Amino acid sequence: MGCRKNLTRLTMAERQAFTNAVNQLRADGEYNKFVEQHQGAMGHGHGGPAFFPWHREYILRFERALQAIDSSVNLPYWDWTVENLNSAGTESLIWRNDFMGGPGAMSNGSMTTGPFSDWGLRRNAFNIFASPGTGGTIATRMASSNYTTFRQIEGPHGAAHVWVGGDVGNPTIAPRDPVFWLIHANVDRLWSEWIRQHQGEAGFEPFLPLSGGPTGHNLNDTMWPWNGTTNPFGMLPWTVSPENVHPADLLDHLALGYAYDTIDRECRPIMKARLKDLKDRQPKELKERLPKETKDRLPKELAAKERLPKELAPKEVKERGPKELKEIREVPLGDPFVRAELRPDLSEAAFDINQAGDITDLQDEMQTRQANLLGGRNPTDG
Amino acid sequence: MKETRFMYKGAEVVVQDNQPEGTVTVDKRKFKVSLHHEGGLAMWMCDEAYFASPDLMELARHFVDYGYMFDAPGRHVVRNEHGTSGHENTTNAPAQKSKAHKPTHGG
Repeated sequence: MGCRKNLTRLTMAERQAFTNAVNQLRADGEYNKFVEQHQGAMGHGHGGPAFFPWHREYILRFERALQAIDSSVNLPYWDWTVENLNSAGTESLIWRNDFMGGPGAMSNGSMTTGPFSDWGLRRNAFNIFASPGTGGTIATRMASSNYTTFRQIEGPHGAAHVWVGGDVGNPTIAPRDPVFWLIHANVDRLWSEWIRQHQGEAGFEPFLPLSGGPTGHNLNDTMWPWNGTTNPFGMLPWTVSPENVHPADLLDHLALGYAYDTIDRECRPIMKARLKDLKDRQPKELKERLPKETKDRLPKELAAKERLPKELAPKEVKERGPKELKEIREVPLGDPFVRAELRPDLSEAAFDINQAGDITDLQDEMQTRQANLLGGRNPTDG
Repeated sequence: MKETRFMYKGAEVVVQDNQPEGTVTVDKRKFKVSLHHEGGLAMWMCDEAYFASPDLMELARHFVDYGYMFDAPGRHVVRNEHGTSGHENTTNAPAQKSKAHKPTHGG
């Protein structure tokens, strides 16, 4: 199960793996086929109900092409309604030199930074600390359980294209700029979230129309170009193995083999493992030093028994009264035998995981905190 | 040619429908649009907007909704027709003359 994450949560290695795979796909001559495919589907994948399923199939095939190069790669998504800056607000996490590169030059729109600097791309000279916004419109559309209303998100999606501008601002050539895939992974995420949000409601349909719409836009229509038909668009030369792909096949993203970090548990185990890893890295001295100080505050005979369920506790424990035990049980975080002021602040570490997601940064941070706790000594010095 | 005028979000919108071409004017800012027929779906498109709709009025409202982007400083519109790429700098061009996008598929 692949995990599509918010681009702000990518590790440095994940950013590099993604951009490397995209560059390799282009070097292999496969990238431009996707550009041609999108150009051919202007009326098939846009301006109508099939906008969401057509692009779901399209970006999934692109993702699989990347995974054939590097199996660790999944499409990240760009939530364009927010600025996507680092926690200090000093750096853009998308428009950076190890990811999407920066904006175009004011004079001619040329984009000459980052892993795609030699692609000849053009972009607007946009402000990297700003965003296209449109969150209010998206929230309004998401609130409706009617697909026809929801799919008007195609409007704000277009605004994201226009905001970046240049190549990705022109629908006939938009996938030339890799930002395209991040925009549409976000569009796809919104469809998944909308379905998850409303699927329990009576009469809910994750896609409409069931029939009666234009060719290719009905629930059980096959979609071009994968169906290999020459009508109405003409079959592109590289479509050699016709397949029947219908909107009905694409309603459940989990069944297609990927998950989103906002709504699927499948995207979260890594974070839990990391948190456990951090707890295990508490310095040995800290564990050994604290029990004595803690024990001084506790009745010795209760220390080993205090975790027993109340109904199983020995009589003397009950008689000692709940107050002393309560002090222990209600410690909010960390090991109850460690004084609060000496506990590592794991809640903040967890926040860093979500925001930065880079284990090496977290390790550095933990070492610094350990050194502070030990009076400036480096814990690895023994 | 059919002309429609209406107010939307405080802007005066003038829609001139002269199929397969058209013009949408929002407070004197003109957008060239064109009608595409593909797969039984007739869509109005504008290569400045990255938006298509069977309803020209919906496209016109889109120009109002996102008008602040179409005239943003440093905007660069890349033209593309039949596989060839051109480039147009729209910086500080509040009433840019837009080239209509021609259909590339179908009729």
